[in-house]
Amino acid sequence: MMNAPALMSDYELVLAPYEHKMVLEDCRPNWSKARLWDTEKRELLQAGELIIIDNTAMPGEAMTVQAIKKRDDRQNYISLIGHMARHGVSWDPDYTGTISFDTAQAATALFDKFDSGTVLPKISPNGEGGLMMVWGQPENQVLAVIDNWRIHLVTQATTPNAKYSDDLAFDGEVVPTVVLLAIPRQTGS
Amino acid sequence: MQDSAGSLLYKVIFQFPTNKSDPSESNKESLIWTRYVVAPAEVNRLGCQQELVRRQRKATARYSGYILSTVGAIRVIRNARGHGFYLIHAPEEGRHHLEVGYKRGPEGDLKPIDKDELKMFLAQKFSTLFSHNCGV
Repeated sequence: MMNAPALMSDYELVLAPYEHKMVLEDCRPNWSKARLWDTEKRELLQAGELIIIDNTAMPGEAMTVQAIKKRDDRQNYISLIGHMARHGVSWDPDYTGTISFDTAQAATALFDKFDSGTVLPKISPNGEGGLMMVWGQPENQVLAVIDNWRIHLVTQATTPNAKYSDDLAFDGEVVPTVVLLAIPRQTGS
Repeated sequence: MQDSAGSLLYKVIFQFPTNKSDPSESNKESLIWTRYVVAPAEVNRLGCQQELVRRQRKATARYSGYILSTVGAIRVIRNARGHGFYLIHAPEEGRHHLEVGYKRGPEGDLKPIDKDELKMFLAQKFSTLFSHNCGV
């Protein structure tokens, strides 16, 4: 016999059991030939061995220790984004938590645009093929969602002063100005 | 030393995934209602039962504990556009089972950013993990 639904008081506790399993692999999403060549060319930069073929960490950016560290950090994100596209990240084994390959390509292109002054976000699959990127603390958070080649943005997220920018086009080259202005930068950069 | 990828991740425990094979099951998540289950013992027992079931489908699945909130904390969530969550008792999957999903505000449909902002709200309303290892 089926149990009848019951009413809930506001003070009753609810719980969410969950599972956790994640493995990080270095795998990239499908790259266009031009972008792959471009990245391989940049990766010839090996400061540790003093083999310096290129003298910029990023186009137009001086090769400082901080810039190289930031570039390495970006590569970790790009690896994680590739992992999310191929294997997903989820706390529920019934759900893969993958992002779409277009989302992965767009996110990779966006991370390639970040310079050493850009604060890097925390990221997560959003459950519908997109990628959430979150900056800041709860009282002043920025949320950008990459959904294939569209970006959705909210500043001061989860507050009554939240400002929304919906459905911004991103072509992999030109980052919408409202997104650039919203992403936090390190002090002094 | 290997760095954990966890430092790069924003932990979205509730992803409200799309279910392509059964759209009616999309954008929902399940909760346990403590009116009918005593925490932590019975909650962890249910979690370990689920672990055994899910390991049949995915060998690496592990139950690692639970996070805690209240009905009232979830019901009052509203983003700046007025969207929030519904929370209903759904005993078909067990007397303790609650279903949570998006609740449209008065000013129109939820846009993609609304859904993801609501996930952030929900994350803020739950405790840190009460961990448990089933030891299987």
